[in-house]
This record gives sequence, structure tokens and C-alpha cells, in this order.
Amino acid sequence: MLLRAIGRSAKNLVSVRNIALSRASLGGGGHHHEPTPVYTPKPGSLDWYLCGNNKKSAHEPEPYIPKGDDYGSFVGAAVFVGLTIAAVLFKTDAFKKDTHVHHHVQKHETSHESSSHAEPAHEPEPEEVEAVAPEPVASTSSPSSEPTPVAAQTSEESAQPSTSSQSEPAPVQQETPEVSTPTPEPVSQSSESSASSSSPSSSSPSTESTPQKSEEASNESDEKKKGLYCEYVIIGSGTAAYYASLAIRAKQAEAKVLMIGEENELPYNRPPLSKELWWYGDENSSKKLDYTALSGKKRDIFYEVEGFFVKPEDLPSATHGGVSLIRGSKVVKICEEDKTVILEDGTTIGFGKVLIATGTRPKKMDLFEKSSNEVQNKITYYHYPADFKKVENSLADSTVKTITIIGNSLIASELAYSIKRKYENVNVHQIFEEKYNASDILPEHLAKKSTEAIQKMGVNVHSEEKIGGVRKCCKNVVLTMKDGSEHRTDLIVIADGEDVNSELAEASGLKINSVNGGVTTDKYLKVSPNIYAAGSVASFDDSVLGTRRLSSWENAQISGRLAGENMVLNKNEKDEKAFWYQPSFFTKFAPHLHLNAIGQIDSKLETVAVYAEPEKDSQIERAVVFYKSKNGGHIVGVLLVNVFGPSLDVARRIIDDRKNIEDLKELAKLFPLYEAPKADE
Amino acid sequence: MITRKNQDTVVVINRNEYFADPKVQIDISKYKEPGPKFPDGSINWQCPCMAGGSLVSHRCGNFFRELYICMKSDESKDASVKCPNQFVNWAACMQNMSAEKREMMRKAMTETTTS
Repeated sequence: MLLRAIGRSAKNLVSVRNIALSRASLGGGGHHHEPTPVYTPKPGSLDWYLCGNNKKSAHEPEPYIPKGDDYGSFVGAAVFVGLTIAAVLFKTDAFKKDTHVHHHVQKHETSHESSSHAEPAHEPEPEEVEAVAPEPVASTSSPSSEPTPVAAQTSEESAQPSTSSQSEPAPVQQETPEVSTPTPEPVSQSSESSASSSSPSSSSPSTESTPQKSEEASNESDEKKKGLYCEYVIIGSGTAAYYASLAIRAKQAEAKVLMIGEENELPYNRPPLSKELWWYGDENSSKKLDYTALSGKKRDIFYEVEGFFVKPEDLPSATHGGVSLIRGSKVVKICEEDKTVILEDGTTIGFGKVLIATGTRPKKMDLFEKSSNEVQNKITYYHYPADFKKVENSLADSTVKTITIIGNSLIASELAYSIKRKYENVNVHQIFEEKYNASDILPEHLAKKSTEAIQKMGVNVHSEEKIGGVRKCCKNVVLTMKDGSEHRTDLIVIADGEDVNSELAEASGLKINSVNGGVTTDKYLKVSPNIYAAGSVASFDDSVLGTRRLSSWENAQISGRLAGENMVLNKNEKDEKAFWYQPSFFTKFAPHLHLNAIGQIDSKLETVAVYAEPEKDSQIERAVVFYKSKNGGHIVGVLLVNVFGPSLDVARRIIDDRKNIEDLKELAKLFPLYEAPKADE
Repeated sequence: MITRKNQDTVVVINRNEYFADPKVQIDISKYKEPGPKFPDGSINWQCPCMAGGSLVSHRCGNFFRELYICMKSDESKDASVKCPNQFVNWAACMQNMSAEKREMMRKAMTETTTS
């Protein structure tokens, strides 16, 4: 299989060169057809040509016998490249012929399941070698102009059926076998698609509609046995994915949602891993990942129990839809034109709309990655429930008496605080290169205060320290600092930054933001007509604060819901909603320092902090910190220190209004910095 | 009192200053989470009162939907007795009841008994 694949790719590469020549000979400019973006598949990874030529379909490929139409499609594919140029060169003679042939190519491209098409195609006619070649080239370059007619066609098809059928609006070629009314539907879909495609302004879809219909109808019987499809596919099983599934089902009553998560757990809430599980958990917390909330009730980190979900195999036949979850499964590629996702094991699943909600992972440190296995056993990056279990268990059974946390991030700082709070007798150390905890976020005076507070409770903070080496020694592990000193510890926990899980998007030819590393979306969280992204993986357009990527729980919730809602609105051709509600984050990593913040909380910006005078005998200081924009000095971020009430919404309003700090005292009065006098007013 | 260091300014506001006139106000109504009904009258299935959308997303969500709509439309009766059929359908689904048990429950709930 692999050898054939390699052989085919080699052939394709050869053919691409031929096509390049013929493109030039057709007289069009090479720039009309964007070649595959500069993505080199990693060795061993699924190669880019899989879209449109997927041989690893979930069923036995049936023997393929080329019929009359098909030869036409092969020839058509050869001229496919010329078509794009031709689409611009309206006046060429070849135009009519090209468009006639174009939809043959579309059919060929979209019938990815009939994988064996590609194989015998190479033998019968030499021109087919060229024919097959442009498809892989075209299909992966999703932002390019070429696949758009195809994508537009398929998205129209998927949009149309929603008006007629309710439970199984499937694109023509990807019907699930269990669908109750497969036969009448595709026919009606084809006629609807031809009706819809006559409306768009570009000429090529409209002229090819009629022949397309007959070809798709004949395709039906071939594709019908091909299985896996779900209208709404969500890649990821975290917070953004979960809330998106809620929004989709809330907005579309019978929607079917398939969540495909790499992790083995049910969708869970991440912040308690460095907060509540430590603060309110007990000795059983690591087993069930639960804690006793302040209300007195036992709560665990999971959003739902198993019974919430419909089993994946039952989803196609679920008359009222539901949410299904596939766990421990990695999606490696999204094929935009075919509207399929490909899993690591080769399974292909078709979708109507797909959401990328793959989140982030901890940043690895080279020094530790290169260390011996013995050392690596003493190291934990902190992000997953398993990490909590490992750390908690080793502290609970006292195998770890000295723990060292690396990084000055909020997670690292929260962990240092939370562990020391629960295990007073454990030596807790925090090592980082910066001057203070959370120095990226807090203005220096506040960062200094918070570091002093965490030190006061007993955490040993080693600031401005660089780690030079690590080795195992006796029962524990020794860190060598750059200044030569040594630090001995039983366990090392690293929480020093994150990497975005954007590999999937990259492999699928989607745009990645070079500044924040996220998958680029517009203000509707849309990547492209059928692809959305939400949560910490998405780099979205915030109309007030510009392009951003946020790794907070509330952003995952808000953007998950928004993306889910927009996927349904888009499907029904209604106006989508732009991002507008600023998410906040909460952190606590020192006693009496409850921090909430909204907007751009960047210590590199100019800040103005308004403090209230501390009350007598009180350790609690209240303050509001305003972060000023680099361009214009208006307020772009608000940080609240021990300030509660509706303050977050007040902060949202200030940021949305782009308020200036003209009258600082007036702004300060909007926040509960002092308690109102108790006397009657 | 105002202190400045690099780009960070610190201001302290005392009690008197804080409570002095003029009082200020700001409109934050648009950020308020809508309740079970949107301004246009439609149902907000993602309301916190409905577990943020969990109840309709559930595999039994359609039964909850019917139950809620029924209960909302029936203003007259006491919540614990109205829409027994819809309630039974929903409860049976949530608890994975067999058809037999469900019908037994339905009988019990639809027969008017004195409590």
C-alpha cells in the first residue's frame, strides 16, 4: 500500500512538472494557479496527496471499471489547470470546452472514496497521468482560487438540503448507509444544487450544473455504501469543543455532532488541575478528579457523564441527533474540498461543517527532552489530568518531599501556591529566569508584591536563575544552575509556556498566524466556508483589540459557543455573529491576591493602577490596573485585584468604548474599591 | 498620591475621594446573560437555568425540549403535575428505562390520585 502510494506520488511529482509546461503552453500566467503551499510533509506523516485520492477508506474498494463518462473526466482533469486560467480568459476559444469538462473533474475530485479510480487511471491512458496530477496539487492549497468553485459547489449542496430534510442533510456523495431516505434525497439535492448554482455570479459553476446533476446521481449508488459522515464534526474534546456542541444542539434541534478527541478522558475542565483540586480536594481527589466545592457539593472536573453522549455507532440512526465522542483518536488532516477529516488510523469521516478546537500543549524544554530516561521519570510537564494525578499521588504518599516548579507563568505560580497550600510540609521551589512571578502580565510593582506574598507563605522562589544542566543522583535529581550552584529535588514540574496544536491546520493547508501561532480565522471564527476554529488554537479578529489568541477558560467557552452557533447560522445561510464579548481570566497564586482580568493584560504596555487604602487590620488590598494602548493610550486591558461585583462587565464596557484615562478617579469609582458606608443614606 | 516608575503609574484614592460627588454610572446591561427567554421571545436553550445547554444537547435532549415547551405553554397548573407525558418520556430516556417501566411510570403519573 505504502509502496504504491510512494510510486503514485513519484508519478504525480513527475506529472506536475509536465503540467507546469503545459500550463505555460496554454498561455496563462503561472500565477493564476497557485501551486501547493510550501508544506513538506514530515517523513512518515500522511502525504498531502491523500485528499481526493484517499485509498485508506473504511471499506473494501470495489473493483473499478472505467465507464464512458469517466474517460471524459480523465481528459477533463488534464485540462483542469488550464480551466482556472480559462475562467479568467473569458474570450478564449477553449472556454466552452473547459467548463464542460470542469464538472467532470469536480465529480472525480469529490469521489474520493472510489480510491481505486486513481490507480487504474494510470494504466489505460498516458494522459491520465497528467490528469490525476493536478488534483493533488489543487486540493491541498485551500486558500487558493482553484478549489473554490468546488468548495462553493459542495457548500451550496450542503446548505440546500437543510431546507428540505431535517435529520440527514448530507452532501450528495457522502451518504451514510443507515440514512432512512437516501434515494429520494440525493436526487432532490442534485436538483437543488443545480438550482442554487445557477445563482452565484461566477460563470463556471452555473454552466456546469446540469451535467453535474446526472453524474452525481450515478455516483450515488457507488458512494452509498461508503459510511462515515456527520454533519457537525468537532476536532478536539476540550472546553471549546464541548461548548460548541452545546451551542450547535441548542440552535439546531436535531443536530448530530461528532467530537473527535485525542485525549482518552471525557471532556473536562482544566483550571481545577492547578486550583480547586488542590484547594478543596482530599486524598481521593486523584482517583475521581473531584473536590468539595464551597457549596458543600462534590464536584468533579468532567463536564458530562458517559450517558450524555450517543454512541458513535448509534449516531447516524439517532432520529433526534445527539453528541457523540470518539476518544483517543487523532485527526491528522482536513480535506477541505472533499469535506472529510482523516484520522491517524486512516479512517475518513465526511462533514458538513468542521470545528478545529485542538487547544495547546505544554512547551517542552530542550534540556529536559535530551536528558536520560532516569531523569525524565522525575519530570512532569503540567497540563493533563494524568499530570495532576502523578504529582498529587507522589505528594500524598510522601515519595516527594521536595518539589521544584519551573517557570513563572500563571500555571507554574498557581501550582507552587496550591501545592504549598495543601502540603505545608513539602519543600516547594519555583525556579524561573524572570525577575518576578507573572511578570509578563503584571506591572512590576504588582508582580513584586505577588512574589513576596508567595514567598511569605513558604515557597522558595529562585528568580533570575537559568538552568544549565540536570542529572540523576541517588534517589533524586539535581539541577545545575548557570552560576554553578546545585539544586536537589525529588520531582520537577514544568509549566513554562505552551505550544499551539496547529499541526493539523498546517497539514491541511490552512493559514497559521506567525505572531501568535494560532489558526487564522475572521471575526466570525471562520477559517473558510466550512471550517471554523475556537478556543486557544484560534487566532481570531477582535474588532476592538485586533487579532488575538487567548488561552483562558472563558475564551474557550465563549468562542466555542460562538463558533458552534455560527456553524449553524452559516449552514442555514443566516447572518453570523462577530466576536464581541471579551472573555476574562481568573488566577490566584498568593494569599489575598484574587486576580481577574479582561483584555490585553501585557506588562509591556503603560499601566495606571488605582489602589484603595488598605483597611485597618486587613491584609486585603484592592486595586484596579488599567493597561493603555500603544496607539492612542485608550484602555485596552483591566486587571482587578480583590475587586468583585459586576466589575468584569464594567471593565468590558470600558474596553469596548475605548475609554481614555482622562478622569482616572471617575473611572475608579465604577469599581467597588471601598465598601459603602453602613449608615443609612 | 501618584508615583511613576518607567511606564507604570500608581495612584492611591482615599475613601473621601472615592465617595465624593459626582457619582458615576455606566451601562453594562448588554453584557448581562439573557435568561430563559431572548428579547424576541424565543427560548434560550443555553441559559444557565438549563445547565448552559447541556439539557438539550443530551442524547435525551429532544424530550427535554418537548417537556420545557409544554410546561411553558401551560401556565395554569402547578409545575409538579403538568405535562406528565412529556416528563415521563424525558425521565425514562434519562434513566434508560425499559418500555415497560416507562409505561408503568406513565400510568402512575397520569392517573389522578389524591396525595
